[in-house]
Amino acid sequence: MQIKKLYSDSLAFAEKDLKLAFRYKVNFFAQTFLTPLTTVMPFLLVYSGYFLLGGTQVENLSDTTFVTFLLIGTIVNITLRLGFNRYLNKFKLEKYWQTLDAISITPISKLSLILGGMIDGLVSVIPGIIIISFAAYLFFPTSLAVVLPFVVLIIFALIISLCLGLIAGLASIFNENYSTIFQYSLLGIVFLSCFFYPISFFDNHPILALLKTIVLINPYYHIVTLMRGVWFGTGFSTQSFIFVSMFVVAMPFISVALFNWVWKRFTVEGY
Amino acid sequence: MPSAIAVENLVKTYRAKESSKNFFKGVLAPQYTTVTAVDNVNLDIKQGEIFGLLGTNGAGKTTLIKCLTGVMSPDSGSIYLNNKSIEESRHRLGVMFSSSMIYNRITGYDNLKFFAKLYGVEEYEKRIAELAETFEITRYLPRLVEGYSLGTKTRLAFARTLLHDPDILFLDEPTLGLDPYIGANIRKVIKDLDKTILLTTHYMEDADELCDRIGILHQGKIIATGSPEQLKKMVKSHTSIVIESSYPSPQLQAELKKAPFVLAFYKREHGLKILIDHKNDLSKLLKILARYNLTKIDEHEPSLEDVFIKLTGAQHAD
Repeated sequence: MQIKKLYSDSLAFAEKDLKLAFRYKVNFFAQTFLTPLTTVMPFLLVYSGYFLLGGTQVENLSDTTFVTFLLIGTIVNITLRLGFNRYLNKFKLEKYWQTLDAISITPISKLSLILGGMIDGLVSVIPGIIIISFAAYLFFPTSLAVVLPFVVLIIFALIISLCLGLIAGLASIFNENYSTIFQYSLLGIVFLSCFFYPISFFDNHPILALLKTIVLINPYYHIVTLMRGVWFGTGFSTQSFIFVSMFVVAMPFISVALFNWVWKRFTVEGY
Repeated sequence: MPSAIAVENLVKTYRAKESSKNFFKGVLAPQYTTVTAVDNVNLDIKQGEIFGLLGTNGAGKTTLIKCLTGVMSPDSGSIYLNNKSIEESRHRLGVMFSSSMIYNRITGYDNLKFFAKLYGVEEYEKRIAELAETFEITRYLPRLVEGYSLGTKTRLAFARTLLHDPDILFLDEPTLGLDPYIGANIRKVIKDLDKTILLTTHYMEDADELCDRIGILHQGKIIATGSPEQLKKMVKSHTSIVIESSYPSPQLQAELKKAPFVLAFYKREHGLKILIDHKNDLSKLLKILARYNLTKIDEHEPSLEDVFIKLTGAQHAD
């Protein structure tokens, strides 16, 4: 019964959020697809220039693999941004509409906020991911067997980013200063996820080597590495998969518990 | 009759940022002050009763409702709704904050459908159609809410509140800013509901017409409770004068403040309402008023508004 209600509530959230997101379609597409594409573009240009000028190898990247390598990074980047920004942007609006107050008094589990976000997030990213995956396939064809692990890992990335987004969104409604802080922290996560360069880049300087420690505990690094491993057939680390799975299981409960605790404890500022 | 809303010693404070004349000080070292929004409130509202909460802006009405519905946690005190905790009775509560709690960027129908699903309303389409008819908003439902008038939005918000047929309703300013026709529609629905209702309003006529009992909230405290008739008895011996003038001059207001027989006065749309202690004092008041260019002076039977003015000591004429 509880699971049925959770499922029905999640679907209700997904439907409502999709309708809200598509009210201003250009804004939605720009945030979700254009920003990640503009992020990958400089790397694409630099790598292309290097290989066109006769370069043969950048760490383990070659002229046949670098585009697909970047496009897989872009897929995870899109997923991360979509989940992370979902609540950050939405909650700011909902704060003024007072719809969060309305939701907070309905008899629902806050897990449905995350599950609903996952459903509408998947619906939102799937078209872009299919296009990018197709492009990646053109540059480096792979087996169709990658589809299942790919989808699973994208769902994992989305769940983690939604949980982070829920915490960021909640903090932002209590104090809008946090909204800016979290927006910039997203850049930090992207930088420390190796979406656009191999992790071996971090071995080239003592400070970067320190940052590598953070990269290694960043689940997005493991997700993107697992996806690349599957695509290029270079292996699948069970250890990484278990590490990411632990995040996927724990994060929803942690973020919902935090949501419930913070919601009751603090007073919303600014309206 | 059993208690529907039982509140004991409820206190809610919050931190408010104070503005500073010095820009840099305000930005770098902001000052905060603690505001007691709800100050040791006790309430006992019976099942089926319509209880009105009257108070000026900032009296603590909305904060009190937020505490009673679980939107905010109080600092201390206890709340029981139909002898259960807020958490246990959550699915049986209906809460309306004026025209808000509605998604502006989707249609009215989508709003109702979304909340109906969260409340687990079976046959929600039928329920939405019933409520749309009650509130006369059927033709607006397929449109985006951002295009609604205030009246339509308020009616949609009320329909949302009633979707799951709640046992206890909390209505915060349900008729705020509405035209007389829509206001009457909302009042009729409230009267016909036959539910426990706690409503806040600025409109004394609404409170008088709708409420079985009224509580007057002032600076976070309930300073009086009783039926409208009981409360009106408090000002029975007083006299209420309404004056009209294009602009009530500051000198007149200063004189009224000093006059010992003036209990309170309150700004109205085209003048002032003045409450004097006794009819015998009327001639003294008229002497003061004669020195000012007034267009109309009327004597009125003391009303609920006068009770409110007297108890809150309102001198809101500036």
